[in-house]
Amino acid sequence: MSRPRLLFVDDEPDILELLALMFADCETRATLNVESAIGILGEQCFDLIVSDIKMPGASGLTLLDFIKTVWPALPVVIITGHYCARPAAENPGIYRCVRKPFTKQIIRDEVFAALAAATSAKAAGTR
Amino acid sequence: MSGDRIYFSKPRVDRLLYSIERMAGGELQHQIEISPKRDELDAVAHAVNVMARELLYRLSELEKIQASVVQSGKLAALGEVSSGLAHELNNPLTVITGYVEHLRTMVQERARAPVDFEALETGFEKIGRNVDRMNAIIGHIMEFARQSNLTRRPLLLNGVIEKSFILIGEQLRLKNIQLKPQLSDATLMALGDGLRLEQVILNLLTNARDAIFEAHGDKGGKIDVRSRILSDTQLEIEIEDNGNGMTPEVRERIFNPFFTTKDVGQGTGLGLSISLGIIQDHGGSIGCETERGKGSRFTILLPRFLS
Ligand SMILES: Nc1ncnc2c1ncn2[C@@H]1O[C@H](COP(=O)(O)OP(=O)(O)OP(=O)(O)O)[C@@H](O)[C@H]1O
Ligand SMILES: [Mg+2]
Repeated sequence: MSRPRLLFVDDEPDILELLALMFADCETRATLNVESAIGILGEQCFDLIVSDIKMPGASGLTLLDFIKTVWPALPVVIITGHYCARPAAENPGIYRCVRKPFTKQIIRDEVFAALAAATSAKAAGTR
Repeated sequence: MSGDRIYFSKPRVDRLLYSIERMAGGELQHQIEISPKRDELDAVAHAVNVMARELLYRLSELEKIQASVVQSGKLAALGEVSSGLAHELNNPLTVITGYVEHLRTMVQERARAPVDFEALETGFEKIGRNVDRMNAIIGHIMEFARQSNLTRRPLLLNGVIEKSFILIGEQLRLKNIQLKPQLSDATLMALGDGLRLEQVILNLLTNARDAIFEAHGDKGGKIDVRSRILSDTQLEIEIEDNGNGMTPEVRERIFNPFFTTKDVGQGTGLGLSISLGIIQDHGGSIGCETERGKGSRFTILLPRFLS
């Protein structure tokens, strides 16, 4: 795969900057809330979304629901302070959950695993 | 035999009525004496006795249920504390661990790429700021723990209120918020910890400020602060704002630790729960009436100190 395009959604600028550092080899864009993320998704293509859950305004799970109906093949990695079983239960593979605090290794593993799952699902679909 | 009429002596009827009145007044332990005659009047007395015992039993059951509801309310609050605490601490912790890792790699790989000192500095700055944030949260928690040992001195309540005005007055002026104090009696005395009470007033004023800003932005608004003697034993402080007010769902949770509707970094959600703790330690209470879109009124009741 060429450089994956990732969209980060978190209300903490520090976390967004950190994610950009951890994925310096990818094309990344960041935004502070779900509402603007949905706007950005309408005008630009991404390979994967990384989103926090608890944010002022709509939550990351709302974003997950939105993506599921509009772009069902787009993988989503949820990052959260709590344990969250929902994303993985709904579609293991392209929906994943990473607990904060995470290391670079952990989040990269999840993101690339989700990207791989999405690619193979697409390959299976076009066959 | 419908024609039968039974007559009872007036003193007996009076005694029975007197007993029933005592029970109706709440003395459910009271039991009516049954005479050796065992006539109709005694039957009534017996029925009333049974009813009172039954009521007493139901009441104690109700109290038990009430206690367990209070307890589960506390447990719910505890759940909110720990999940709030996890969220509050995990975010700065993520930033800290992330940057430590990033900086370490940078230093370890200095042979391949020269160390970028500017990046090093930003990293340390971020780590420092997030350590401070965690410290502040822990400081708040200490505040909770410390609540039991407060100093009690007779104090002039209006003095306490005015001191908190000095601290927040400038901020309110900058946001076009008018502070309208009506401090009725200069000798209002309470027994308590002046600094803690000041902290409570400040928390309420800060919340009012935020609510007004939320509703009217730079146009501002007004905060009424009233203090008065409520009764021989109680003092009252009211803080009323014309801010955004709350929905019933928000109103229900405002005293829970970590409950906040504010943005990250704007509120920890501890202000009101700490304030409630302080006021309860003073033997008082805090109430809140609010209407979405209109404003809120917080009422503090404190025991009066009589010299
Ligand atoms: N005067 C008010 N008007 C409207 N809403 C209020 C008012 N006071 C409190 N609230 C609501 O109650 C919540 C909890 O208040 P609290 O003071 O405990 O925490 P906070 O203000 O959010 O954060 P902190 O006090 O730690 O900075 C607020 O987030 C807000 O939603
Ligand atoms: Mg507050």
